[in-house]
Amino acid sequence: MIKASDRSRAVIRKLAPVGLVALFMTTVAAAQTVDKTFPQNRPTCHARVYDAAHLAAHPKQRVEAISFERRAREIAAEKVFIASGEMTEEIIAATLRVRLRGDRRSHVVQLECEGARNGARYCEVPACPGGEIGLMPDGARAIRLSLGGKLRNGSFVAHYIHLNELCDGAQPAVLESGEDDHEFLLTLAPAEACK
Amino acid sequence: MNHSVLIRAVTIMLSLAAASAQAEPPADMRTLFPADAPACFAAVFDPAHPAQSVVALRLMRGYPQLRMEQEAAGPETPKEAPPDQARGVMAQLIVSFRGDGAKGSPARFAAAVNCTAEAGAAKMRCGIDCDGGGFFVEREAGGTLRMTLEDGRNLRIAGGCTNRRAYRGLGIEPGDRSFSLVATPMAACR
Repeated sequence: MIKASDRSRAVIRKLAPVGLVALFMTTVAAAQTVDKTFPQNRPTCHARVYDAAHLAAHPKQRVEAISFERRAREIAAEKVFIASGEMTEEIIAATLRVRLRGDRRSHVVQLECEGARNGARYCEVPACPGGEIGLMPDGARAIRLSLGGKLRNGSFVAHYIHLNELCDGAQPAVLESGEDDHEFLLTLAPAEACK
Repeated sequence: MNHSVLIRAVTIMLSLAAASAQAEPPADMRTLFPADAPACFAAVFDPAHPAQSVVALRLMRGYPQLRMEQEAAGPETPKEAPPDQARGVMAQLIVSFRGDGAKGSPARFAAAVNCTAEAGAAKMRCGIDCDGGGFFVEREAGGTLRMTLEDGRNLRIAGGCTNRRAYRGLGIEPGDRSFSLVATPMAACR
């Protein structure tokens, strides 16, 4: 007669390989969050300040400075996504800061970015869905943020992102791709550059 | 690929594949939602209306939907052949509800939708991913669009198929089941 404990051990022995596979899959999924651009558990700051010469050469560009930062707060949010049990290895959270030409204020907004094809992520302001900014690594030390993009027929389609969470409020702030705000190249920088 | 994105992509591919057997929809659908250009239809409401919880509603097709539609069509799609709208169009329903957004502003929620129309049909049927409900869209005299929720069901207005983000139901209030939408420039549809 087989005792219940023996049956349990037999079941455990049978399930052990399954458990190992599950553990392996979990490890693989967790490992995927560690990429060169956004290492898991490590804050990152990518920033760009356009100098006077650049702005003079691009008079239609509205953005004067832009940064994309993952601080402890965002990394904690990423862990919540993972703990929720979803396959969220490609989700990252970040703070976007933008200073516009002729406006001394710094616009600050929280982003959530999800993976898509071709290595690109697309970020939105959760409180203001509809807007979107593209995020593409450019080597190990730089990222490209983009507003809108080209379709296969070559036509460019403009888009936008909200710069605060008051999208239906009295003072919405919106960055549109406009004539010269389609793409921004940001390089890895010390955290101070994202303040 | 993220789980919700994967489910969404599979749902869209399945619905596109199912709809591909259908004949051409009314040309009107192409006029409403061109294959390679953004479009927005919007309604704004009296924020104090007692039977409505909605203060703004947009049915839009912007760069994200155009891009995802091309991705769903696959890499082999010839450059000169945009996705066939006869099989369905992707759009986004954005709803702002009265009340509890930042600093007391309206709270905005959005859902991905896929719209199809059968041959000769006067209406498009739009479904929210992951059985979030459906609604019909038809053109009214004067050029506006009439959006009507399916009988007996509310819409689940949420980003994706999971509960990672909060969601709201649309259709609970009696004044939130039928809407008249006006073609709106994208610049005014943010």
